Amino acid sequence: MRFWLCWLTALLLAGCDGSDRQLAKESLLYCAEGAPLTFNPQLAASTQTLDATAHQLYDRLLDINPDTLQPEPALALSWRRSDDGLRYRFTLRPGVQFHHTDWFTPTRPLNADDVVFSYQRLIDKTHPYHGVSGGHYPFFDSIGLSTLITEVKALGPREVEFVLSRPDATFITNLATDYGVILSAEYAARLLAAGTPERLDQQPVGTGPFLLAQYRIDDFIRYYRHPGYWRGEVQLAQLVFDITPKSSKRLAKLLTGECDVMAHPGASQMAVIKSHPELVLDQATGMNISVLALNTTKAPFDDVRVRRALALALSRDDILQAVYFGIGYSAESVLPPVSWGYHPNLVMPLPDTDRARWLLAQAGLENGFAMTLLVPSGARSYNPDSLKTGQLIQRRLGELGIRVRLQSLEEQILRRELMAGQQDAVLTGWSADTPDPDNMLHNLLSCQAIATGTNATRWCHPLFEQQLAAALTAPNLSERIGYYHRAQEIVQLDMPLIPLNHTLKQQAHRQTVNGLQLRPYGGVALRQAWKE
Amino acid sequence: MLIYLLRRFNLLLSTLLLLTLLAYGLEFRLLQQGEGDFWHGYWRFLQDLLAGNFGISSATGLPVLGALGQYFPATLELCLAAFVISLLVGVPVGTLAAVRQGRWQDTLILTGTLVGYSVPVFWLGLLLVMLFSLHLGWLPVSGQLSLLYDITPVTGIMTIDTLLTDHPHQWESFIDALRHLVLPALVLAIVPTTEVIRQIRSALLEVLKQNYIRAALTKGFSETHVVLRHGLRNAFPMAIPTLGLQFGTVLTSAMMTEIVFDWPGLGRWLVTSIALQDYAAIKGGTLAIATFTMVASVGMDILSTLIYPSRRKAIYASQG
Repeated sequence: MRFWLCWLTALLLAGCDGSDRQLAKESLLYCAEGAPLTFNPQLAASTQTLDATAHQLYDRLLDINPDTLQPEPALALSWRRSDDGLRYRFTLRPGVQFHHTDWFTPTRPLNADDVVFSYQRLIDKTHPYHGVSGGHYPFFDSIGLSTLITEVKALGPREVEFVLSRPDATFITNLATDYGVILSAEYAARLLAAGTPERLDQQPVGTGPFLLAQYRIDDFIRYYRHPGYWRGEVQLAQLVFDITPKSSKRLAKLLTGECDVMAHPGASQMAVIKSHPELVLDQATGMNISVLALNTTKAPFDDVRVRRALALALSRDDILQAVYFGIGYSAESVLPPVSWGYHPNLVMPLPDTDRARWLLAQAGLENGFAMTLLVPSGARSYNPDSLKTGQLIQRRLGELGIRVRLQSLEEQILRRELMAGQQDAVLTGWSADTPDPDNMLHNLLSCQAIATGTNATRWCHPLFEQQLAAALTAPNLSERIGYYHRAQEIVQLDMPLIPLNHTLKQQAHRQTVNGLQLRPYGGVALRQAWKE
Repeated sequence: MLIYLLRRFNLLLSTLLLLTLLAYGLEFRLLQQGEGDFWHGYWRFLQDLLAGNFGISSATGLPVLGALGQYFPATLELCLAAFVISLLVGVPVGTLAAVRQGRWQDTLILTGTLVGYSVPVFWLGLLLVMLFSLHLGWLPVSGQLSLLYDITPVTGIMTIDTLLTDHPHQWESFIDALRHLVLPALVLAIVPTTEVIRQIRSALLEVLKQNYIRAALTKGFSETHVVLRHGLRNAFPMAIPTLGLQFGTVLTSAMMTEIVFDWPGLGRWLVTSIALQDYAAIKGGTLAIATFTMVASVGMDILSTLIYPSRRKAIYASQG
């Protein structure tokens, strides 16, 4: 009996043997903070979706070089812009292979049809795939892609032309965003014939470094190396996204080696991470913002005096200390200071309860009012703890007699609520997809972005729209900057949302992991990762 | 015997019917999803259930039945492991307490069971994780199996699936599945173990008072022999039905244990479904758990009657 007990204990505590070590070396366990909403990034604007899909499963026509921030060739070898800025012609890379999966075996490499299909689906409302999986393309809808592109056509098997309705300075960078993925037209046609088109977004086929092997909902995603990847052999044989919403659990797993990389460590965990020599903490300047978005179509938030009063009541420094543990900085405008469109002369008013009370009295609300504040559950890339932020706001506004009821919602439910647009206010934010300021301003505040739910303020200001539109057609950078400065001034005056904080982008990993990149915008890319 | 079985089945069936009525009633009144006439709707609801149609999950777009099939085995694995542990630990400890009645060993064991019974499951789980996973690094923090191993589920019970697989790392994955099972099963075993100890102790005390035990002792058999051969054998039938009822408690604690250890079972799935307001999943999951608890409890009852016919007589006697 004793022998067996000892044997069993030894067995349970035993480390792994040689072949096991090889398996561990070729596999990367990435602890993500949430599950993707879909496997097609065109359909979602959530960080979790982008992290899990955009750079693991797919490629884009162009990428943005993380060092120079300039577009560089990806699936497109080269591109030409016509002199009037209305036509873009792309030459595609030859011999790019799609994934061979259990559910689809491609018969041909990537060609112009795939590019045409991927964009036609987004812009053409009569396209058989346009309405599939909800028919909402948050990013591209919010930038108005369907009115920008009038035509996408194949000029040959490796030549594609985009025809635009107006010149647009952000067009190229927008194609290079995480959302600009190229899908397989052949696979789509096969699914359509079989009557199951929605599978295109659930059982993906792309050209990216990894192919999807298994997804257990809300639990894990298993990817295998794409053997014929056009950029050369991928080092990792297996990549697993372990979906672990609690950051304390992600850290525990990182410490025990059940995770190799941990997404979004909490600010309070920095000290623990730094005290363990086997862990490494990566930090990068984040192009993000967390905001309190007020529904400007609903009373009393349709009154600018109320919105200003709220802005005066809040203390962004308190939030920065209590929620971000000082890792980040208070926002003075919608754009972060690292953006080239940032307005350096704008400052948010300092907290002033008396003046806030006076403004509320002017609006006839001296006794305050009741409101519901929606907060996303779990961590967001721009806010590590929305509920705690909400509680701080609740306490501050309570001093003015504003009774705030907090309602914490899961991502999917929250999205539904925002699309319906009945909310009072919501704690939300944005992580930039490109270095272009248009990306943030457009998605958070443009009229187009109301329908897609990313503009939770439902604010639609003609003058602001004019600035954004003018910036897109401006002939040079300094003029564009001028338009963006004016746009930010308008936001400051009308205050549809209250900018709160910017945070650093963070990621922790075990020392054995190399080749990770932490980019200031967009989702993670694990193509170059390898383990010692 | 036949009458007894029929009575049990009757009870099971009527309780299940009541349960479905309750579930449909809630849906009809609260969610206003029922259509037209209540009884007509209820009949269709029953037909759907019998056909295995539990609805479509709004979170995944997939049939709820499939999810039940996927998550239930993991819960079962955890509960069975906890049950085995509780018997392995509870029976000898309970016997010891009975034999040493009134002495310090008995007092110690009784105090221990009281503490074990009152410790909150999630707190104990976190303590064990801190000690065995984070501090000592012996056992994994959570999950059912390291995600390194791509094991195709056959039964859904990982300790079995890892043995059935043709994965090149079959043996390592089996050990890994066992290592993942240890902590959650231990935590889950705490409450039923205390119950087993108390039941075995009191049943054995009852038996040890009997004349045939005294007779055996006067015949010169050793105390150990008498307790093991005669005492336990007669104490078991008295303890088993109450142990059967423990299934319900174990299943409830399993929900919390699954959340603490991220165990991919029904409990964690239900909690996620509640957060996502996935009503079809909540309804299906609740019905499945309640049904399982009832079937397990009645099944245990029938089993004990089959094994120990003397219990049957006792039942007939008590029912007149």
